[in-house]
Amino acid sequence: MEPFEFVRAAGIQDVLVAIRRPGSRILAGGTSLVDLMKLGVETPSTVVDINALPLSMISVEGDALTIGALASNSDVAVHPAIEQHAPAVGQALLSGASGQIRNAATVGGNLLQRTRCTYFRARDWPCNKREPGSGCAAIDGINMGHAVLGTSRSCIAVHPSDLAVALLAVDAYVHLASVAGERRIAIGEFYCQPGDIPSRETVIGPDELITKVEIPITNLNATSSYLKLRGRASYEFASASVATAILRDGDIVIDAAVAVGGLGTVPWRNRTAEKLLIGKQLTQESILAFCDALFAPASATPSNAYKLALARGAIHRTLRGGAEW
Amino acid sequence: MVKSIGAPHDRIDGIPKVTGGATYAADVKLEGQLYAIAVQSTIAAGKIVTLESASAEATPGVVAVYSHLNARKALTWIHSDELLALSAEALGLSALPSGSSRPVGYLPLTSPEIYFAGQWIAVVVAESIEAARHGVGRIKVRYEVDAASVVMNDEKDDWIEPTFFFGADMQVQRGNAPNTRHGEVLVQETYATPMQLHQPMEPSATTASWDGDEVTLFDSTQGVLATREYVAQSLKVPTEKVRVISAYVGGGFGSKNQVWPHQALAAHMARALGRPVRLQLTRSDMALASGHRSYTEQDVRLVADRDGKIRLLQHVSRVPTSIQGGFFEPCGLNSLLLYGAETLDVRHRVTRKNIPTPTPFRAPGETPGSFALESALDELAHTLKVDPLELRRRNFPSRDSYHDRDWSSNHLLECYRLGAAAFNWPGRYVPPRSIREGSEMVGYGMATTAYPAPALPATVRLRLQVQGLAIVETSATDIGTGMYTILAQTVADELGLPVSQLEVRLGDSTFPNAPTAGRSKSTASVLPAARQACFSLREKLASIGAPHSPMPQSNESIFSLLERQAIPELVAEGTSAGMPREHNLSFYSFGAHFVEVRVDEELGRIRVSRVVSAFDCGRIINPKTATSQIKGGIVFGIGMALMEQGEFDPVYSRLINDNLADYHIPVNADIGDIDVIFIDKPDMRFNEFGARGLGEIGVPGTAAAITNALYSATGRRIRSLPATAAAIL
Ligand SMILES: Cc1cc2nc3c(=O)[nH]c(=O)nc-3n(C[C@H](O)[C@H](O)[C@H](O)COP(=O)(O)OP(=O)(O)OC[C@H]3O[C@@H](n4cnc5c(N)ncnc54)[C@H](O)[C@@H]3O)c2cc1C
Ligand code: SF4
Repeated sequence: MEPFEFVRAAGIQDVLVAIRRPGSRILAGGTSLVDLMKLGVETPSTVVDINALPLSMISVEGDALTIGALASNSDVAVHPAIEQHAPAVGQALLSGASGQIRNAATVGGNLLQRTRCTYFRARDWPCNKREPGSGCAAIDGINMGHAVLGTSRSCIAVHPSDLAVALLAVDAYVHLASVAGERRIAIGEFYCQPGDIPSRETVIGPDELITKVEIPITNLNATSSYLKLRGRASYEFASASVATAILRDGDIVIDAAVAVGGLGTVPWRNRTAEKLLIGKQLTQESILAFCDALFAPASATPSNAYKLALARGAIHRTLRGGAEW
Repeated sequence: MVKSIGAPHDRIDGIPKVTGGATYAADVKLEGQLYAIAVQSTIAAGKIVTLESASAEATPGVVAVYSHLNARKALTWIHSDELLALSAEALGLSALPSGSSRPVGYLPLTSPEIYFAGQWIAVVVAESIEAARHGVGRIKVRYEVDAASVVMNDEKDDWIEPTFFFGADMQVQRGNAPNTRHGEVLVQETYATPMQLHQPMEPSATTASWDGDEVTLFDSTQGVLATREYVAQSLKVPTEKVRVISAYVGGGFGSKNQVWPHQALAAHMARALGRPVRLQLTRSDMALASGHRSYTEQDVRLVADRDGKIRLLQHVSRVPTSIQGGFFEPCGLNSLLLYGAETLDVRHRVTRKNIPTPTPFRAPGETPGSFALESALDELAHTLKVDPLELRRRNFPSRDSYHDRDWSSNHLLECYRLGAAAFNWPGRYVPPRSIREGSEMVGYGMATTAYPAPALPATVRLRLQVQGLAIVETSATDIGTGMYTILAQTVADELGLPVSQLEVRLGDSTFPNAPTAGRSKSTASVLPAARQACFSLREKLASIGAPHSPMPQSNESIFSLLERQAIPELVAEGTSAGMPREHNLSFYSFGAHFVEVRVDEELGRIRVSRVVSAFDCGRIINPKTATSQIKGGIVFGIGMALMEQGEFDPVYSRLINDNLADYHIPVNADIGDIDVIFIDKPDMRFNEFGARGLGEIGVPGTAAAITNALYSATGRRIRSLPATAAAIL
């Protein structure tokens, strides 16, 4: 770990000023940042501790559910309002990490955690994301866990967050603040595919703070659920996961949202494909047609093609109901 | 008084362990102590061209940097053949005929040559562990890279035919190949097991501290005496000037069984710097600098009669060792003993690869070997459409025909019977894909396990102290197995004392000799010595006026006797003989695993929902610690079957999952019901306790029982581990 300056910020303005320093990094729960600092992957010159900020509330405001950026993954997971209005979000959080880590981990930090690509997490491999221009060791390396959607010639790293996948299915917004003011971004526009600049992962600026996440309260979101598949029963990132929400009139689908995780360089959703489900019954055929459209752009390696089969299985199971671990 | 032996006594070291009272090697903090961390090579073959340490040396807190450039002079860190012979690198060298491939004289930090990725090329010593790590990140190395090879290639590689290893010929060809008569059944398949990492909970560390010309090492080792010998040889000091203390070991599984260079290096650095030094292995070092289980490829061919009697058992293993070392997996061991085929063809071929030197890992040889053998048996059963358990019964080895000896005792058939009953084994042939429950396919699988019962001479010292304490001392280590507890139980019974009046002290090279804790021999080596020590103590007590044995019946406490005689302490020692002196017997333990798996094929989910395993390990000294040992072994087997796999990057030939984030072992939620049954029949021809060791026997067979169950559930045969979602979709 490289030495750094430590700033404990008392209020939001302090933070917004402090993070304008080049090389500064926000510290929330630290479960991702400190880990990467120990590995020498993150080398901030200033660490700004934001834990004193009043950003851990979870509340219902009008037709939206808001979650403060510092709310812990554990608290959010079991909050009654989450269970009622966006169950996928609670289930996604509970499926992640371990009890101890979820107690420390925050919502803001979860959204900005970095990829688990092994080559990224050790300093001495070529990695375009960590060291632009150095190459990508994963493309010709061990890539069983890597992405099949949204990949580029420069990076195939999977986005690791379970929470982000659930938030994508419920059309959440991320609220940002900087000295210049505040803005709100739909989660679907928050993450960037790697393209030629894999080091750029989100649209958030270096001087911006996530203040909260907003989830619209809708009938559709209330039906949401999350299914995560992985090699062991707990304490592992997703091989494939799916957050689904379906509204039906009788047998007929009137609204649908399906986001998948573990497959994409960003949490993945395709609204055009979802339209294939609308007005139909959920049959083997309609689900198959949806999956074919959703996964049409996939490009898999021999060792990660299994993820597509897993995701298809998970989508069939969740849409037909009754998947539990 | 109630006998302690045979009772499920709680671990006496349990409370200190969970309350922080147990001091591990890295817990030791001495005045002026320094911290050292190694730098690993990132290339797998080639040479260091330049190694720049100036920026590391200038890092605040860094005290010294050692590499091949200065270690020889600054540390008197020198390779010698005598030293190599005592090291982990040398194990197995004697089985590899010279000339076939010459191992290099290897010791890290003595030359710029690189033989495998992860090889230690420098060590940074600093005032704190953080500063040491910081310094490690600032070492700049330029290499000349050579082509490396970490994958075996049957045709292209140079193959060595090893001779004799682990008490067995590595090239056994016995009996005539049956000319395949009409009606005989054949199984011929290749099985593969992955590289596995020991990763005990406690990473190794050595804290070395000098006092004049004597050095004390606080170390994490399975064998303090072997460590002492190696370190003394390396330092070129008399053995008695080195003391090695390893009172608690947070798991070893073989990674702390041999001696690795770090154990001496800490002492060399402490001597050069005149301050205590702790050399700490990182998680990554635990994958690369203290051995691993290598991957294997094994061809098995079975020829059997229509009624399932196996006529020919061919088991040819291809296994790697490192460029510089000697250890290889002797996969064929169980194939020599089980199933009594009249024709045996059990051979091994070894090739040198740019990998770190493999080392024994909980049931070396038997573990990968039994995956191949027990899978092949299952394939034979399905070909014949007979119950896999019945097939094994028909091939029960009534004697050890390989060694041409009778078994000292063999209750394998009883393991089959009791295990099957407790499991509710179907008892008839069940075709694959017969059972569906909801979205899951259910399958049953079984496998045999067997493991040798060795013993070596050991000595135990008893110190009876007038204030009411009996101290038990031996250099044996408790690597989490329960040695503290069973020693206390033994002495308690013999002296008629409650366990609370005993203090067991282990893992100190100044204590009487005991063998390294490995190959499941400690119980059979150490307990008889403890009993002898008790006899000898009782004789001494008798000579000072205690009524003759049995002591427990005496109405005067042994402590008041000492008091009356004004003897502050009475000391006695006892030594065990090791293996029974005159015998023509084969000493083995046996067992059978029965496994239920549930597979959700749509979701690629495999669950080991139920395991019942029955064991014949002689008499059970402590059913509680024994059950824990076996359960741990079965959990190892579950990890091997479903998750564990060390992977080398195909371009850089470097292990990529040298950490617990990427190298997966089971978590609690992966483990279903495990029911352990002991036959508990004493093997009185082995020792007077009738007890055989059981630290390892739980592992072999488990993985095969699981993949056999997977076949039963799904009709998919997994011949290459691990069986992941990708393998069953
Ligand atoms: C062993 C392990 C297993 C895990 N398993 C899973 C899993 O299965 N699924 C899963 O989804 N996650 C998993 N995680 C990741 C975990 O969810 C994240 O580490 C955690 O959510 C990060 O939150 P934090 O508060 O600790 O973030 P920090 O480590 O404090 O910060 C992470 C990043 O976010 C930035 N940041 C934090 N808060 C803000 C803010 N308000 N505004 C702007 N920037 C901010 C930081 O600067 C840093 O770059 C796992 C982590 C570990 C260590
Ligand atoms: S996949 Fe992306 S993160 Fe991984 S090595 Fe390649 S560039 Fe780096």
